[in-house]
Amino acid sequence: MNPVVRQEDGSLLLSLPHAEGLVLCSMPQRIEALLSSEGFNHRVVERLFPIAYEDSSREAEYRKLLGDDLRRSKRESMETFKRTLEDLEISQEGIQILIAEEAVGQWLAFLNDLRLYLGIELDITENDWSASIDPDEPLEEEFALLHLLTWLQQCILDAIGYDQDRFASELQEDDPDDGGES
Amino acid sequence: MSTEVMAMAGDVFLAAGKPGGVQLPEIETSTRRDRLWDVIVWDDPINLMSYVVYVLQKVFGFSEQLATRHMMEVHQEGRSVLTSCELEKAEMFVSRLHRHGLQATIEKQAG
Repeated sequence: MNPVVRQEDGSLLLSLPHAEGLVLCSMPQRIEALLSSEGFNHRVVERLFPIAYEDSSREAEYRKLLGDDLRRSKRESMETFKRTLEDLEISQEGIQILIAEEAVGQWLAFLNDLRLYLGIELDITENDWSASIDPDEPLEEEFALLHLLTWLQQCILDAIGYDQDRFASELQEDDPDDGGES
Repeated sequence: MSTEVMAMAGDVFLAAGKPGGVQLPEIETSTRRDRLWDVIVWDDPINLMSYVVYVLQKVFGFSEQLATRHMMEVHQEGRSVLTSCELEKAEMFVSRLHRHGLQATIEKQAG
């Protein structure tokens, strides 16, 4: 059952067990700590703020023109994510979070940035990374977190009509060994 | 515009699409090419297929079918040219793709 349910007004109601909900609540602080730390992985910056041009002079011009917009957009997505979490409801059953319709896009973008950050930290380079879990090996914390965020992002996409299985089945008609990432 | 002129314009339009039809002057073709830039999205092992389709529909207004076709091309070929347009528009599209976490670049159209 999808823990994300679309409401009549277009908002999404997210119901999570306590543990997963609390992990989610810790994400903005985690990112802020990461951004302010000295040992920051610059490959993460390169991935979250990718180049638009191979040519360095054009790229410099582009950054001057649109670089601030991109930084502002990333910051706004994180702030929206944080604000939504301020109104969460905790009950015995778990944690409920209501995502307003206009905040859904920023939630998806922030979750995606978190996943990109984890993907770089874990040095993921292959599309089938999610199929490479060895049940006999303990999962690294970051790898488990990546799976949690991937699952959550997909649940939100499912709730708004972007069912991963539908796209995966189209690909598998061409390549039966294919995974689910693009 | 008179009916006669409209009919002539229609003939030119139809002929241009056929082999051996009306050729556009060379200078006009090359000027147009100079102004066009490709917006290219690149494969990424983290972005979900469904998320890529969602973003392409949101940024470009593509139908689900077209967005899915581009997503599949990215997945299988490593890249897909999403549109060819003027530089200012191309930069706007790439900026929006970057906001959503997709790797996208701009290249001057070959030719």
